[in-house]
Amino acid sequence: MAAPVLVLVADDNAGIRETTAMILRGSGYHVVAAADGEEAMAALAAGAFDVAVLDVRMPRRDGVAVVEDLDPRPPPPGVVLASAYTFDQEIRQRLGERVCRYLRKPVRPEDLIDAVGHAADLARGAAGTGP
Amino acid sequence: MVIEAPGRPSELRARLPLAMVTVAVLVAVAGLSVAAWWVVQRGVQRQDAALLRNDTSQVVLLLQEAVQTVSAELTALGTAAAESGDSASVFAQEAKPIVRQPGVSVAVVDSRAGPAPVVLAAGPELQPGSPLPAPVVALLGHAGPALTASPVFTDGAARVVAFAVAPVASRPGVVAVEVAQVHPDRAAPNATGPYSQLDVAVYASRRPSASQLLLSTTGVRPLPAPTASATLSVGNLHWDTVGAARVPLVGGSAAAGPWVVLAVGLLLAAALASTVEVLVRRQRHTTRIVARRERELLEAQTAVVRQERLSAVGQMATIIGHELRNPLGAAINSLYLARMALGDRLDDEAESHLVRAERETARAAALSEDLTAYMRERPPTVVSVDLRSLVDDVLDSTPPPEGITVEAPEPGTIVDADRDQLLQVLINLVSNAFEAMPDGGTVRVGGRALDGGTEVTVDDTGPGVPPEIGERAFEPFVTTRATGTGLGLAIVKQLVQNHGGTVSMAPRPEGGTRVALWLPATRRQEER
Repeated sequence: MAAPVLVLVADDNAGIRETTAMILRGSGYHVVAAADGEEAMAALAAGAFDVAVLDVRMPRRDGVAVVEDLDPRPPPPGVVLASAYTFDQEIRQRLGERVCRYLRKPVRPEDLIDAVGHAADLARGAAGTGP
Repeated sequence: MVIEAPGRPSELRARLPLAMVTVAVLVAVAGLSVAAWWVVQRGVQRQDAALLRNDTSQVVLLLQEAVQTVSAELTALGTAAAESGDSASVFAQEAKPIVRQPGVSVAVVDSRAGPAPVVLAAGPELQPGSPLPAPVVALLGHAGPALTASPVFTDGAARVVAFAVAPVASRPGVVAVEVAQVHPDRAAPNATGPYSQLDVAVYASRRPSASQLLLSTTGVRPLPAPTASATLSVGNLHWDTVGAARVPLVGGSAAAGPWVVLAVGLLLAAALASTVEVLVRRQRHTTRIVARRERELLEAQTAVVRQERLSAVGQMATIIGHELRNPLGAAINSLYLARMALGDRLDDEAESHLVRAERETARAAALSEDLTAYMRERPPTVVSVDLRSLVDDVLDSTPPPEGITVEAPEPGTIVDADRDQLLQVLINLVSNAFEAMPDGGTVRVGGRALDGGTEVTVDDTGPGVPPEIGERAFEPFVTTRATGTGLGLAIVKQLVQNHGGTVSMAPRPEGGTRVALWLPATRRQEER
């Protein structure tokens, strides 16, 4: 039996953060929640996450900065970026392959589950072929 | 901001091709020129008249010398006859130089000798022993040492004038008489000499009289005005002499002076008037430009103020649009969790509550999306877009519901537009059309070149838009649908206007609605 998929949910809005975590747990994921960018960085440094669902606008460190600071070794988690704002082309180009999917808030739960599943598949695939 | 005062002055100005001030300058300077011409002309005329008077007096002096010669000759003739005892040879000697002049006759007369008093005579008119013409007889009564002359009279075929002198030294009753033919009808020659610039007429009377004309340099022609007259006085003889100038006596250049003054003055008037007109027009032009700039500035200011107000409203709307997203997201998540948690325990009533909550949160999410799109204006990046490929993209993202057929244009219809923005426009219009036909129908998207641009039409076969909505359909938050946000067509209008285009909605004669938008062709043909 495969190990449970570990997902980090980082959002400074408690309502979003908690309901998102609950929806993902309900879908069988193991979820760790973080309330801002620094917490997210600390969590990512401590554990091997398969997927990170990151809000863009967060105190202390925003989601884009978190993605940019990810350590490429060991293989980083598949990232899903969510934002209440539109993602401009410049950010998309800068982050490139490091982001699996962009979601516009409010995110439909079905879209969230689909995006996390997709990111998990990519991350697992990368880990499987990695060193 | 009034550029020109209303009412009569501007009406008058509109009728005049020139500015009032130009006309005033023209009239003033031209008037001054005419006045100056008049003054100078008067001066020149006075000068000319003075010179004419002077020259006429000089001519009279010359004539006086000639008449005095006649007086001296007659005195000498009478004296010689008396002293020689009426010697014919002495007379002939004295008379010879006188009668050498054509038409001149002389005689020595004894005034006390009765009806045939001629003692000695020479010349064509007088013979010794013959009777004298009545005017000569009358003259004898007045004869004295000083010269006396008769009026002009006719003697046979000839017009003549007679002179008489009774010398003091001769015996009493002896009078020397000269009768001279005159030809006033022949122009007296005056082509040379110091007074050749004058025409002169001499009358054997104190006042000019045609019958007494002795000689004239113009023949029977009257003398041209202006004239000057002087009296030729020798003895008892007083003849009027009239002179007229053939050429300006002050000289050609002096005579031309007034006209030069007038011409220069009128030229000056024209030059000044045209300068003033140019200045006035330039000033008016400047005033117009300033007025237009002021108007543009005012419009720009108004636009800035409106933009600032809109921008404040827009920022507010944007903030609200974004800030709503997190609570909306949490609510959507919670509804999902509630549905999961209830699972089989969800009864019909709870289900209907959940459905309504889900529908309304979805609508709120759409509203926040549209609000953000409406406020997120950016200038279009115009490229040439094939309308057909755009419609294909529309149908990919907004597939037609069951029962609705979509007729897309043939490839090749080119629109100059920002592709993303036109896609948004067509998605809004096509989805509106879908929603207008819940029972199915046809949506036709067409395009054609029109008025230097492209017209894109979206037709549906729905029930049509209520007339009370009309053009208000493009205003924000005007909608006929319970689930619409009322921003779809407002976004369409905003995007089309940002392209410099127009959009309108009208019922189709065969039923349904047509939305027509026109976008200008901004890219040149060769760039395509």
